[in-house]
Amino acid sequence: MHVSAHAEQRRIFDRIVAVVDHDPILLSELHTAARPLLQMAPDEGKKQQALREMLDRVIDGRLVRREAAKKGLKAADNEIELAMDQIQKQAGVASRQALLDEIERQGETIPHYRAELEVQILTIRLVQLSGVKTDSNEKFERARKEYLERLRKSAYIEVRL
Amino acid sequence: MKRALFLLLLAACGGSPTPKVAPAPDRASLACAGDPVAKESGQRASDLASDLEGLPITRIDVQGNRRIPAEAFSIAMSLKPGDRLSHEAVAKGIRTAYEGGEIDDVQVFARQDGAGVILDLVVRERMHVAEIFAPGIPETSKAEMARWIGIEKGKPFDVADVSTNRHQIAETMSKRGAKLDVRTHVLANGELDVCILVQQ
Repeated sequence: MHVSAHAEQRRIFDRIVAVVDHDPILLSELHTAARPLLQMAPDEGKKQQALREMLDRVIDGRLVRREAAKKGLKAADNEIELAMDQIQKQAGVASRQALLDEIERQGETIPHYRAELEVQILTIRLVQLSGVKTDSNEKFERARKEYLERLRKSAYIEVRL
Repeated sequence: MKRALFLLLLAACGGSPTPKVAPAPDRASLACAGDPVAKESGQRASDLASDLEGLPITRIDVQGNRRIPAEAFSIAMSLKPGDRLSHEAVAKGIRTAYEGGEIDDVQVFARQDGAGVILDLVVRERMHVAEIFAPGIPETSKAEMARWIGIEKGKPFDVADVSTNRHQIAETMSKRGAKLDVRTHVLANGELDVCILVQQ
């Protein structure tokens, strides 16, 4: 069979990259989450690394949301707003609009950025609820990693990246 | 041909002087010495053909289906020729197909076809359980154990369910000094045999 040199090769449009219990994570979803990292990645190797790193974060996010829902925890809109105020202050950005512009300039979408903040707030709550003493940043970070590790062990996680 | 039949007859009568050949392993042995229930691995393409978004779908081809008719996929995934290709619709379709319980994987490929786009849905159907073996375990206990683990003859084999259940049951059993293992042997027709192994 003759195939024209210009024949369009089929390319992946979307697929499952991971399954957390019965919850699939899609490649399109991962690309949206990793957009800022992908923009900065200079080559294919770094892009793959960025996707792998972001997939871990997306998986952790799923586990945290699920655990928070089980415990009836929510991050209210005003808590997310407060977190954005803090980020604005720490980054030394003059206005909220300037912060939003900067977030978008880095390839991030505002809904996704807010969703990330929500996961961070929920993670803090869950770690605090676990009863571990976290009176320093180092202790909190250690407790956070251990908590996420426990969540991962209790779930069925299949990576297809 | 006649000679072959004669030799077969001799062998059946037990009169053949030919050396003994080891009998082919039975299905239970194959299943029990099979693969532990494992997650899929392997690297695949990770770049998205997002530039094709918005083009009209001209055709949908389905590959890899055995039991489920090709048309059922486009219906279940709410994709049809004439629709504009969108990530949102395709993602929703993949989720719906996966959550149906009969599909393990769907990969959606796209290629430009003039002013439109052809979609290839590459699917992997979940294997169905052909037989369950449990050497040394009475039939009634075997049926109960299979139910706990989440396997049923003639039903799809859900690796996520089986892995999670097996892990939980194995933890309880290990406290009593027993070990639980679940192994599988893939058959040629999209089915698999499952073996439940309990060691005291």
